[in-house]
Amino acid sequence: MVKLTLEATLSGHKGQVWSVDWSPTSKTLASSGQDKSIKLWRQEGGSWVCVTTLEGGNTRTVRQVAWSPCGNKLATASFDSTTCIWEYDRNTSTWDLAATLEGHENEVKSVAWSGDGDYLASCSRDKSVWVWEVMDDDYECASVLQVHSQDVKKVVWHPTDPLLFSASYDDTVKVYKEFGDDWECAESFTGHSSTVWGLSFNKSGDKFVSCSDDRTLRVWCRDENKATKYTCKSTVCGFHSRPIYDVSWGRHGYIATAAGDNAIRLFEQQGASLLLSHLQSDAHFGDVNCVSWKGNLLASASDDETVRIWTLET
Amino acid sequence: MNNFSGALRLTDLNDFIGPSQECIKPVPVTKSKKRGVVKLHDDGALTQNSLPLQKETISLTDCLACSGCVTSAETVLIESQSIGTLQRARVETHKSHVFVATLSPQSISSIAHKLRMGYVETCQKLIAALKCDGYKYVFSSVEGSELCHQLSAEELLNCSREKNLPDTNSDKSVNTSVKKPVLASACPGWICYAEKTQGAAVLDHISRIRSPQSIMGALVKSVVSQRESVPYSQVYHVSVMPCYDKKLEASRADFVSKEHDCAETDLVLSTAEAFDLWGNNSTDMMEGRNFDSVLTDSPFPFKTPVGGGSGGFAERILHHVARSLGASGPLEMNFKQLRNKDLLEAVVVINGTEFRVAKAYGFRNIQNIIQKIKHKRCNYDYIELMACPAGCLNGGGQIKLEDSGELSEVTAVYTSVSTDEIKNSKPLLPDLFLTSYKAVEKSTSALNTQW
Amino acid sequence: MNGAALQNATPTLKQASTDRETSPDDWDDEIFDEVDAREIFDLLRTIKDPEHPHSLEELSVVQEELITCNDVDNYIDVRFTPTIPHCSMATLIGLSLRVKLLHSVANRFKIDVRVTPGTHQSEEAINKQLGDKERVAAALENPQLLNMVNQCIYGAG
Repeated sequence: MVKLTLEATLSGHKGQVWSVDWSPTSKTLASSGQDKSIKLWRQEGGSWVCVTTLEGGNTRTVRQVAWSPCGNKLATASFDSTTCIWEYDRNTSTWDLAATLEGHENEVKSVAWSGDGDYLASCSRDKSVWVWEVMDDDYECASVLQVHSQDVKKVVWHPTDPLLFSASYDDTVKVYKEFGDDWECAESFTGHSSTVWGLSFNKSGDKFVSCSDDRTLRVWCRDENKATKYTCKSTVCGFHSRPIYDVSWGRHGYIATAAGDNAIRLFEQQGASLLLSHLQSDAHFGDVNCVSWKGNLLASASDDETVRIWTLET
Repeated sequence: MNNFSGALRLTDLNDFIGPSQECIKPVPVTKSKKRGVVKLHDDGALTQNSLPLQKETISLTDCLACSGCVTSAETVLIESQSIGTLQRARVETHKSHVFVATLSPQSISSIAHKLRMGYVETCQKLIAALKCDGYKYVFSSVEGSELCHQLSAEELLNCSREKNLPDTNSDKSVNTSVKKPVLASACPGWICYAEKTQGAAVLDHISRIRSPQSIMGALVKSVVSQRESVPYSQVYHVSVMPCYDKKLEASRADFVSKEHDCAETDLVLSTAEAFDLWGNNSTDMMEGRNFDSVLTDSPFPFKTPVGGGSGGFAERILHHVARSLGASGPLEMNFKQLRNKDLLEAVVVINGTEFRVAKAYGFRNIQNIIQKIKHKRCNYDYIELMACPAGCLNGGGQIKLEDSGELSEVTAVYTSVSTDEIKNSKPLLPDLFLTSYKAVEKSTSALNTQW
Repeated sequence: MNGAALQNATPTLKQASTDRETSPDDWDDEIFDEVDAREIFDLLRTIKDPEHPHSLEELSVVQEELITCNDVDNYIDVRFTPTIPHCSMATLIGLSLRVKLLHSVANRFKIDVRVTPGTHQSEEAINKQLGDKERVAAALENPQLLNMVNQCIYGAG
């Protein structure tokens, strides 16, 4: 019997909470939203508390917050068209605004660090995906990829290979690889019939699952002969009644979805398809915008202005 | 249509307008003094006092001055600068007008590669084809490049790193003097991007010297009208360029002769379009063909400037700087590659003064340069900045190549005739070759806001 | 506003409806009043067209028959009809409708605002944009757009 137990409800954000991300190096959760702030949450004395609030970086909604692999940096994608980089200063134990990356024409929707921390990717309603090269405190634009025909909603790096994936309002997912000293689009994946909001890889990276406004999930499997080629092996429909805004594939194999019907659903793989293992109806009092796994802990962010932490029990 | 440079495409975010709703430019309506009744007829036609109401048209110049879409600018562009328009003009005005053409060395190199011919032969072939087609003069835009380089060298020597004087100009969006690092003005994609998305902080760095195309534009019609004793407005000037964005440049209000109320360059053809028109003509009559010259009566040589396929701005400008400073002997410039193959820099010392120059091509390098300028961390004196990756030989208007390796073959054609010994007389009226840039004001009407 | 001519200079106007008749039950706190289509219509009908001084009801852009409200399932579906099939104000009108509902109804409701099928040449694109909560949220952070939307909803401000 698979189920989720509510561990904590974290209040503090004003307005929609858009994003949650777990630190890769500690049990710290970062959240961001409409109130332009980033909050860091940790368990202290048995209860979850907000230990830091970062403000004064972005001037509009912070759509996504992302930890660097080293756990000392945070990148934020904001509707103010910039990406801010926050760095942890060990000497003063404070988070400082280290850089503001400009260049996108309008809302930045997503930001992601590559596994080795050498690159940062960002995407925007301006239809472009940017790859930034990270050099100490300097961020240089390494590529501007204008392959999508619409708003780009999400960027995600492959867990093991230097491949970047992007999901868009143009209903496609695209993958980019290094090409000389630049980047180029290697494949485009079509299938969804509306906006692709997000995608998430399994541990080894031979599969990913994408979620869409079309209320379906799609499972894509890597081609044996071509590292950049994935083929849709199954479409999971009939479970979600509103758009699916996020999907997270946990290391234990459970796939969590965040949807506009206030629910969190857990799926597990069965052959090429997915099996619904748990439905957490009314997980929030509003749309669930984001889900993020850390071990058996699942964090969720919602329009109801809260973040919730759940424990997976199997 | 995807021929525009990436920089230009990125400025236009009209992802949400249906085709019939594209243009948001308010058309100034000249109100007739007479009052009248507008009547809507069954067929949808509108008449006022029984006369058909005039339909307003939007020109490319209107589009360029507008922060709205360029999707509709593309439509207008196709209309106003197409092979069809040129052919119509030929049919309608060949008796009254003198037709002349200016060919860019990048276009010639691309066509030469396509035809598997040498640079000189290709020039002769194209000149022959154009002359047979009724073109009275055929110029090389290298003549304009050379003037551009000379004037840019003077500009560079006269400008400071930061403007020290307080800005007394009331119209702040018009730059009055250029600041270091000076950025090349020859790439229209870059200029359009800068004007639409960047303010004075960046525009103040763009060289005020016109591009080679528009320098030729400034000269060609007045020279030809004198030589042929025809009115200025009866000279029809066609320019052949490696770049689609050049069509936009030719349409700028600055490059319309105010005195004669007539465009200096009437029509720009991309290399591929020119090849379709003239590339397959027979190769007879090539012998003894030469470029005409705007500044002299002698032929202009079949040469390209040293310094690479984007026009050699960085190298040629420093060459002239060295001459001005009295340095003798050839200028040794060793460009070293920085982060990527499209970002190069060189440092030269001329009579004790150090000059740092860079070549930066492609949108990503434009971005990094813009950021450095904004944060005052850009210590170059001059940057040859171009929107296309690999520079102008790789322009969007060039003949499509089978694979990227072919670009080096096109480059080889171009450099086979490169020289640092192009000479021409200094122009008398340098003001004629200046231009200015103005930030396009963002539309403040919510009715037009894309979201 | 810019100097461009109105797209539909002479729209057909409809008489505005009278206020809903009230019954004594409406004032009885003990009786649960279900939110119904008429209530939603009353919220929306006074919104002004961005181009005309008329209300969306007078222009027949919103009609009670095209509103579905299910209080039990917490669902509101509004179809609106642009005055002309190429109306460039359609997304702005849709945005105003959505915003008015976001401001007025309990947040337990899921709201869909769409173009009446077959009444706009860019119907699908408009529906997709209005259904994209992220685009809507970002639009409302744009001061010019927000100002325009507020003017449509609450009158000159």
